[in-house]
Amino acid sequence: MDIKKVTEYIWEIPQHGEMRVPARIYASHKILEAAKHDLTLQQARNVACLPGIQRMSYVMPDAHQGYGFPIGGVAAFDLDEGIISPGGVGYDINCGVRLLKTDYMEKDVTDKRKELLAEIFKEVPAGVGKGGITRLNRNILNEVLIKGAEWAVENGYGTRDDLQRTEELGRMKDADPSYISSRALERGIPQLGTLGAGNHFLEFQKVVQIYDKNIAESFGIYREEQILVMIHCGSRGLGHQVATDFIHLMENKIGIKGLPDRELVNAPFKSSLGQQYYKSMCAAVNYAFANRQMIAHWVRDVFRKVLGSSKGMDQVYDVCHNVAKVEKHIINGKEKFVCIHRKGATRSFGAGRPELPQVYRGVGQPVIIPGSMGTASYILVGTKEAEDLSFSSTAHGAGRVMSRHEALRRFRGEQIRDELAKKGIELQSTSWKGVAEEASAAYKDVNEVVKVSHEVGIGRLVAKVVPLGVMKG
Amino acid sequence: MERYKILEHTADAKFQAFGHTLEEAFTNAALATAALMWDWKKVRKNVRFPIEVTGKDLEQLLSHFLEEIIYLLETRLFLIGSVENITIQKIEKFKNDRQQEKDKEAGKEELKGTGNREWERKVEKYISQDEKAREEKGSEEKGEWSSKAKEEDEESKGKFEEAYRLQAVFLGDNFFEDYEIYGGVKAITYNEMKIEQKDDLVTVQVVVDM
Repeated sequence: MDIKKVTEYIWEIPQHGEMRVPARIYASHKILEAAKHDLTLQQARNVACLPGIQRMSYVMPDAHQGYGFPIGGVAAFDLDEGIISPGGVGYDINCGVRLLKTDYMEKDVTDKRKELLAEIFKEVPAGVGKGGITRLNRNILNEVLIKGAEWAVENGYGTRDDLQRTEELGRMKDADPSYISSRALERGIPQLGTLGAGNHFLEFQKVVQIYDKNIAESFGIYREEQILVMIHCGSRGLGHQVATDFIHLMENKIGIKGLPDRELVNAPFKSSLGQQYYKSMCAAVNYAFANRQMIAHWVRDVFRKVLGSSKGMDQVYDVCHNVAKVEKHIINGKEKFVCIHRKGATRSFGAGRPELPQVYRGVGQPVIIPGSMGTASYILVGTKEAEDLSFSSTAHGAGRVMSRHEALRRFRGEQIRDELAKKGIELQSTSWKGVAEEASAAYKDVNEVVKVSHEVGIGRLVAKVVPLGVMKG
Repeated sequence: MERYKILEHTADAKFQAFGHTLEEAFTNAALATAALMWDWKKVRKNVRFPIEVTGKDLEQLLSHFLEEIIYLLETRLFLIGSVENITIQKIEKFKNDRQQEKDKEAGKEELKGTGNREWERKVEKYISQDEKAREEKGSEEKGEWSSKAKEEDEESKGKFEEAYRLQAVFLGDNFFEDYEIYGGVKAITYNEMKIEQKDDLVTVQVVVDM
């Protein structure tokens, strides 16, 4: 496949064959070479063939092979001529990250790390098949699906200020749960307020480097050694089922003829089926927001219990990594609404966007990029340039390089726990095999990923954090 | 012949399952899916779940079949230990599934864990209502995909459609503390899915989202 180098960090697959637009990859030479080993580039090219795609099929620096769309894939579609595709969102709808700040410093928690972690482990349900403590029924779940994090705040979890500092204010207004299947609701009822498993985690971290003092301060990040908390999880079984259901529905109603890849099954955005998926997806997004709102509340409770106070534990931001949204962007000099798919990618709005809360409108939104377990994570800020470069998007994380199978062969969870302990990082998990699969050696270098984001200008470095305590599902 | 083989896949999990027949390969695919999460050999056979799924092609059938495992795990806390009495048949049905209504009228028992047909009918009702309203308004749906869908609908009204039906019984146990669960399958994907028959061997390949 023909790949042109545009600049040091920008590569393009020129439009040819069935492609309607070019494909563009933001990557270093090293990342690009790795991307050539799986189907990432072919998938980026396939996405470029979909009807109504605007400008280009983008791939972020943490790109790797996904289902239909690459992970790290960004594509925007015209609302009238274009499509919406569950594969462009992902199975874990609104898998995302929430960041809380604290006024604690490393010295305040050093002796209490084990205790903090043990308490968090007790309070936050996690693991495969594990249900939550919340008593839900269909009616309450319905409310959760419509109101998202708002429902959680109304029920005593966190504050209204948290909602301000959440993407979409914690609630996608287009949500309509009436198109969600019984099966998805059944999976969702026992799982609200749980962390899940796989690469989902909860970490309390310390700041180790601040790149932009002013912006960091406006995010609430003041100095090195400040303690922050990061929560990474999604819409659990409900989201997975919604994605599965609509993939099957679209297969049956619309078919897979002519698709470059079966996993790119889609429906016109304005068709009944397209709208039903969109509205169901919005509801699943809300479920994940409510989920993170609850977990954040419990974390604050734990800090209060173990350290004496949760004062100053404000939310920094909560971002989605897997979502489709209707956003206004400039295309060919004109402003228009598009349906933008971000799959394993983070929105990266710069200063001036009306979607941002007042506190961030002059600065740009926080972008939260977790590294792999036990390694550094980063906080970036969105930029104005990102609008033209990537429809205001950037990477979401590190991306895997080693299969889970191989990681299981090479590493043992207990061994990783001991190694992390030597580095001063406490780890607790519901499954040691799960820990082995998540070994950081199995992931790309997140430092490289954020460097590309920074250099290209789709998200600029603000701060770097490393974990002190890790809870894995 | 081994039942299945776990393969390398960077982001999630991939396996190949084998059998002398399609049914055997599907059975081993179910066990491979379970193996990603728990040791199915250790699961006691205390509980039985009859299941029935359909699919418009074998890939969709396989997808729906394996999805039952995830559904039963999360909603019934059920771990499969074995698959029995599995049959896969080619069936013909009316495009709008009238055979199913006939079966119901005839008093046939609807099997547990049968998936989303009730919901699919509800959504189809909305779709046809919307389409009717749109036709009445005289507005046109843009996009080549939707007009294609309309054509297909028109062509196939009242026609038979080929499909597959799979029936089986899952035997297993409820998930208590003594079973270790070490992985979570989020969904069955179509990525790199293959169902192939060569000589005496059926090979089924699946990638699952972990």
